Amino acid sequence: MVALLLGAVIIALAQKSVTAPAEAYSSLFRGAFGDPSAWSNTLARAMPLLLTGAAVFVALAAGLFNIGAEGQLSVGGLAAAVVGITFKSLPAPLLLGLSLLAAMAAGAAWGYLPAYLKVKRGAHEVITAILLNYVAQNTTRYLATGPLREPGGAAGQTAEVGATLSRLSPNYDLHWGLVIAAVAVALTAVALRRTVWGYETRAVGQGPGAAEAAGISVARVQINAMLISGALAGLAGAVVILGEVPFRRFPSDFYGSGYGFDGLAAALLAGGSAWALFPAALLFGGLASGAEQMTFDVGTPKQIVSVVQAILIIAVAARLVVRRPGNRPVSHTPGSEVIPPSVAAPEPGSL
Amino acid sequence: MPPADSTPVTPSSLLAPAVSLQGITMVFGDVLALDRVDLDLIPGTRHAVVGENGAGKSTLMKVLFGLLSPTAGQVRIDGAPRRLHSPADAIALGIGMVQQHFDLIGPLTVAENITLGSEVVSGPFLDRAAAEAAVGRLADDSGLAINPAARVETLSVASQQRVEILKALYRKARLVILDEPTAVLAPSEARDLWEATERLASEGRTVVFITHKLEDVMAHADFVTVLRRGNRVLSKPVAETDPGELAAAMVGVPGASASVHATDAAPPRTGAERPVPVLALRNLTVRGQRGEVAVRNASLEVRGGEILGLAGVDGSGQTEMIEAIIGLRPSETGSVMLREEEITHFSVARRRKAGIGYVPEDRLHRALVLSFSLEENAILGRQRDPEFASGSGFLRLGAMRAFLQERASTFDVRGTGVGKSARALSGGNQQKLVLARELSRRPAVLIASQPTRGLDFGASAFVHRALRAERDRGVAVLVQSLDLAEVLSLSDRVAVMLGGAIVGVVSHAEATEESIGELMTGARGA
Repeated sequence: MVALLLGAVIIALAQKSVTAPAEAYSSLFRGAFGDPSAWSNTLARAMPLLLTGAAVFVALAAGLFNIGAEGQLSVGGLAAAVVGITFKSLPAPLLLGLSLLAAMAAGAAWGYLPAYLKVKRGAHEVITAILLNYVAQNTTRYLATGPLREPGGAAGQTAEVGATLSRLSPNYDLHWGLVIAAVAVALTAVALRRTVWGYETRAVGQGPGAAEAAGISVARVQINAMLISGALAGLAGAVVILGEVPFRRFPSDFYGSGYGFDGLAAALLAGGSAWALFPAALLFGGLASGAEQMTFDVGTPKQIVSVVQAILIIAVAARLVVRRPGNRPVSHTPGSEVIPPSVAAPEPGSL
Repeated sequence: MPPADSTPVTPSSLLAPAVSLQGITMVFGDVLALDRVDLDLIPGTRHAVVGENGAGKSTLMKVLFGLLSPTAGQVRIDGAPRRLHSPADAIALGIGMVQQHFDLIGPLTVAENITLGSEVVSGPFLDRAAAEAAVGRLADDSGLAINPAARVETLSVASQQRVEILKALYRKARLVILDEPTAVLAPSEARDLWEATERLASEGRTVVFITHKLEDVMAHADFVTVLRRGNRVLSKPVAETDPGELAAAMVGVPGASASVHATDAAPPRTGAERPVPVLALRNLTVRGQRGEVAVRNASLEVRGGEILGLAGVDGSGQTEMIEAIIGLRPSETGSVMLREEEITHFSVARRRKAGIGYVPEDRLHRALVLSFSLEENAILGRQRDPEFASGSGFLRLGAMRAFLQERASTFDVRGTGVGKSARALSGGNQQKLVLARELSRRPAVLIASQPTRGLDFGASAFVHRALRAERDRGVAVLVQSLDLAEVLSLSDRVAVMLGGAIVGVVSHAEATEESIGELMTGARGA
């Protein structure tokens, strides 16, 4: 709410008009949820955010901040494209499955690196993941413009993959990737809440000292969480690349789609429950798809939506900080020197 | 250097109390911790507050320092009633307190710690030289020798205590409260401290200290107040009393000796009935957090059916040794044996499975996941047991709930509503939940670190009963505590650590506060 109000002020200033915010927001809303095609657009944008959101969420549950989702997404997308191009002769369902698995493996490997460096070497996962993001960005760009560029094709992209995720309905841009993403989020939510794996992951995230003393290996749990996180982010890359729309090819500027970073925002907004990833992803998806409409109708710069998003994230983060209960030491609680009057006098001389 | 606003030492002000507590009553829940306690503190004197554990000494001092608001009664300063809502109020009125656990920032220097909150500045910058000079002057004037430029984390405990006292003086404290100031000090360090307090008193300040040791009262206090179970039972000049009278007042019976400990213990066992050691340490050496040798060549046996108490001044290596036993800290050399099996290189999980139960010292960070629900906490460490996990890796939520209910009723854990988190429980109920969980695995060895720290009397008694019951069941129980009275009342044998080494193992019959105290401080060799 605060974010929308602040955004309104910014729009009013940018457009030099008091009515501009109202027009812009109504257009934004129409673009996001106004009609079936707007919904379709929103869901298409929410789809990768569900997966990257789940990726970041799993890492957060284990007490790790996976800022490397964008990089894991990129290498996952590239791996899916490479498999999809190389083994074109395979039957489509098999090829599709292989591509998705390759993407998850690549993402998991990319997620494993910061986890390993943290657990074994004590390097902070945020720093190493940011550095690995650069590596992913430039490696994928180089490969897409260089060795993997389609011979004779347009600049800066690979050839087309052999098998794609088909559309759910011929009229809309939605494809099976949305189903995969929704199922992945649901599985994540159930697994975190109900399984032994989820229990241990949350124990490490919320009480690492107690988990360790209880015999849970913090290192193992954190490495597993980052493997799964990376796999989910890699899967996000795959469903975007393999979707019948819009890609089917791996573009050199795939890193920079922002799906990884927006997933981070969605996971933070979701807070304590993985189920909340659905509304969170929908919100960010809606903002993105509405932004285009807004630009088209009112001429409001698309960047305004990014500003609103950013303010939204700050508002969420601020709320988290305010709400976090202070870890007061026990010595502050009264009663350390208390004796009930009813207790009989200790027998002297019993020692 | 007396602060500018200090009361000049004149005969009249010597008689009139500068600070007086009147009718202080403190109720926690249904427990009366202080019952209409009066305390007059006269400038230029040293006033000892003594009493057994749980007598209300710390509570009274916390009221005086604004950490607790009394249920009834008032604090009068220079005759005027004052409300102390926080330590900041108390400090503003010239009251300082040195707690048992210091509140210092390790990486900062002595001068930075002391001037924190009222920094010496020059324009926008900290004037480090001026701050150090000011602290140096203060240290010289008060006889509390310290290097203002030293980093606090490099200092000994005694020096850190001096920093705390200087911090109070820097804020112009006219009254300094010391909570068991010698508990962490070696004898020579204690002598220095007492000299410093004498000097403070001679400057017209008031020193209030809590202590267990009657000889300290007789040697270093001008006035003494004895509390027993929340009541003031005696208050008079030290010159008019003797240790016998004080000891009698503390325990409530005339003629009691000076070393009586509260205990409802059944007569302890000799430990000879089950001579087989269940847990044995052989020449164990363990490194601490900063790579220092924290435990040096320690050998120790805990037999089935005995409680072995582990005593020692804080930081003597007890924590590191226990962490090495449970597997949280690697041991450098030596071995940990469980029954006949060497477990030195077992993981924590394997050691627990092999039969070690553990009640950690740090309840909030080591024993419980505070944000977890109670049923989740109840199975922490047992989440892979078939009882709570299906073959496909799902938790059996129904079994968890039933288990929590059973444990909570057996161990009298109160406040266990559905979906409540461990954070919502009181300290006593948290500890009962931890015990209930650890004992549910029927351990062969139970290690309890500071098991009653921060607990009220009722919960402490419950914990002690549970530990004794385990002992009687044949479990080898190792109890580490900084509270010597607790160690003495629980233990069949007492092991004492000093500087990382085990300097003595004493049978219950020979263990007295004096004999153990001498071992703890190195005053007597093993």
